[in-house]
Amino acid sequence: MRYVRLIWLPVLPLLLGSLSEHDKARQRLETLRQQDEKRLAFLRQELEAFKALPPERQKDIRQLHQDLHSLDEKLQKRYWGVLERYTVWLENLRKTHPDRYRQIEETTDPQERLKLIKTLRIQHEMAYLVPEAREMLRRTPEKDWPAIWPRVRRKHREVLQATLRPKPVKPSDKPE
Amino acid sequence: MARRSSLSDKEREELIAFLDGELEEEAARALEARLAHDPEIRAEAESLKRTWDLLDYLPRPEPSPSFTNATLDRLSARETQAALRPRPWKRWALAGGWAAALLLAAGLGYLAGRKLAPPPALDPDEELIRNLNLVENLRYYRHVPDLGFLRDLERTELFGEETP
Repeated sequence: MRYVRLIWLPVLPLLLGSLSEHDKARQRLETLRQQDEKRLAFLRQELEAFKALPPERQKDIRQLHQDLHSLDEKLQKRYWGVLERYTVWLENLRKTHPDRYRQIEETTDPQERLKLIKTLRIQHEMAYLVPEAREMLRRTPEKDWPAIWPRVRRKHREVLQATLRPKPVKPSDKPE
Repeated sequence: MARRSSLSDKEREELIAFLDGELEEEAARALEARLAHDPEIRAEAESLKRTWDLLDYLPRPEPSPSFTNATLDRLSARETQAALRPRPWKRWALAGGWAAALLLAAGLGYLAGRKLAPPPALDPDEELIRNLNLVENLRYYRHVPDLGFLRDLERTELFGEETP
């Protein structure tokens, strides 16, 4: 019977881990109180915004937070990169093209939303493409852009590599 | 070789009782009448009486002078030990009593402590502390329904490190 109490052993590190996470958060908040009142005010606002969300959405966000943190380190880093770039792009879109931003927000079907995001993102990326790749897009209807994007991207890289590759030196150019 | 007696066991028992003076009056009188007329039973009675008379000549074992004291001491010690040895039920009752008293004291102490001690100071930002990790990233989470959507977004190769 005395071994029954050993049942707590596997749970103990979890309890300690959770305590230490809480302590770290408390410490971080103390630092913010002393050094960055503005950031602290922003976080308080964010907490209120989170609490104002419908319970289902709050649950989804908690799940996403948990899922992301349970990924292996490499995958987590990659997904965080995507998430950050997507957010920055979306926030810029809200400022520069509020109508397009609204269009994304109002599209509730995930697949439709993804398609719209792809098209808008490719429109945004066009400005950074080499002329040959941009031409490929121009000759394709907008609805098909997401499908041909991998080929457009490959073309862009090929042209870029060819341009940046050092040219062979002619014998006449050699110094005597 | 011993002479075989023709008396029955019952008659012999009665005869012994008569010689010991333990036979009831009526039976004693009947036996006396028999003794007067029956030479066989009279011979048996005389034989038994002689045997008992001889017993009086045997040396009688005398108890040692300390016999009484030793016996009384032993009896006294045994009684004292018995009195001092706790009974099993008594031991359990005692342990149970102590345990109940300790539990009661602990319970009362806990209740008193809760009632009298001031409540721990609660951080006004306690909720923020508990959700800090999530709240810090809410800016990113609010545009994504779930991890599946994020995975699809990653596959589009539109938000990779080397875009385009």
